Amino acid sequence: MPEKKSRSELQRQKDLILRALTDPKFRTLLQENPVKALEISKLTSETKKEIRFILAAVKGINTQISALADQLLCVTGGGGGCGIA
Amino acid sequence: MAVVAVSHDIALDLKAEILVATTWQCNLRCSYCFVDNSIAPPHQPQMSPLLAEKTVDALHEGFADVEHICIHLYGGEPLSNLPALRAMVSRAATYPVGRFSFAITTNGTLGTPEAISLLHKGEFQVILSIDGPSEIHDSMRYTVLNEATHHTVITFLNTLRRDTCCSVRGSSVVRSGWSLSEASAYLRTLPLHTIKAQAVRSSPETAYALTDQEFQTYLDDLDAVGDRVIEEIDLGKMPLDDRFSARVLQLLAGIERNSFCGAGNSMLGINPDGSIVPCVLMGESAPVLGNINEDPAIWRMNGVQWSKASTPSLKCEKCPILSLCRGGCPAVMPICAESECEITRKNCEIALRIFRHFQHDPTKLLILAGIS
Repeated sequence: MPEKKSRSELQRQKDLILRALTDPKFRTLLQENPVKALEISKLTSETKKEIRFILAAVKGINTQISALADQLLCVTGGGGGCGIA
Repeated sequence: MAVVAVSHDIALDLKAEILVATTWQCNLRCSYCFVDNSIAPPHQPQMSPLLAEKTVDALHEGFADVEHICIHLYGGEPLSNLPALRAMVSRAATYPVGRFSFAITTNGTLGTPEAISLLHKGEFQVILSIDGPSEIHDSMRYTVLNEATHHTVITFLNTLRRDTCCSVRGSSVVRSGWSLSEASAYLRTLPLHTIKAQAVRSSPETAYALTDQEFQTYLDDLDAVGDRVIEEIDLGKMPLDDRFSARVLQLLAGIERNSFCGAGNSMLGINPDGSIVPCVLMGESAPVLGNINEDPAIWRMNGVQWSKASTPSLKCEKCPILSLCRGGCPAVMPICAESECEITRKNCEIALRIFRHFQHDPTKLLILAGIS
């Protein structure tokens, strides 16, 4: 069973997602040199997992942004097109 | 793989959505349906199971640069062509997990045990058309034999929720005499995962088109939907009505939109005969980009070229919300024109309002992406 994160840990993770989403330089650094990006001394397996999660979250958000669902039939975004089936 | 830099080919290596019309036939004759009049090529046969399988294979090959492909079955009524649906679900299952997902827009009146079983097997996201209570729904949505459908649709919804893992979006058409606030309130009484009610897609001359006063009410109701979204975000809940989510996240990310949607690029439409268009909702005006039996490189390239050539009108260049809109839906704008433009502008303004409301605590907006 996965370990439950504390409220402060969750908030820190959300802050990192937000920063990675809004700051392309930080996002690149997080990918290429996570130790420097996070100002930590060592990259643990737990941290690597967290970074993967953060980068995946940013990718997911970018997909959601691109898949604008203005029409009812559009499913993504939500979702895709105009709903008069 | 590099994280996507949001640019002209926005998020192209992540997800493609393909609207596949496996049939243009439908067992309903909804008063406001635009398919008969403007989309369905006459006498086009249903998609065969063989072509359905080929479609899955061709999409896999054609979108090799994309991680995930969502096949969105559309029509006509896609549940009236179960052999094609079955073939697609089975074929997609031969690819690695996560390569394909399914969505379906359905009228919910052909929910046979086999249909339900296939929807469960394919883990479909179901977009179900439910206009309102029976007197509202049945006045517009009836069968070819003039039979009411509301009871059947509600039974279908309950069966989906009880017997499948499908997520269900309720979609309601707002028209003259049936407002957005009424439609939204009704949808909120149903066991749905997401909801969306939207003004009828028609020219202003039709009997069910919103009157000027109703249109103004519609815009006011959109504001109320925005208020509700703010309340839900404040409570840490994913909004049931997600129409503003993509734009709010765009504002949060601080990026400009380069096209209205992914049509031609990360989104395509496929007709029952395998012909490929930027979006099936574009009707006869849609340029044919190729055919599923052809080399996928051809229709992918044609789609990208069409997308790049599709720029906002000159009128849009001065619009203050151009960066959030990029010219409006290419399928709906030619039909609804000014009213669609006004609704899109309103949606953008509300998205901006929601974004500004949470400017002091922007992480709260991550709930719009399911991050809580």
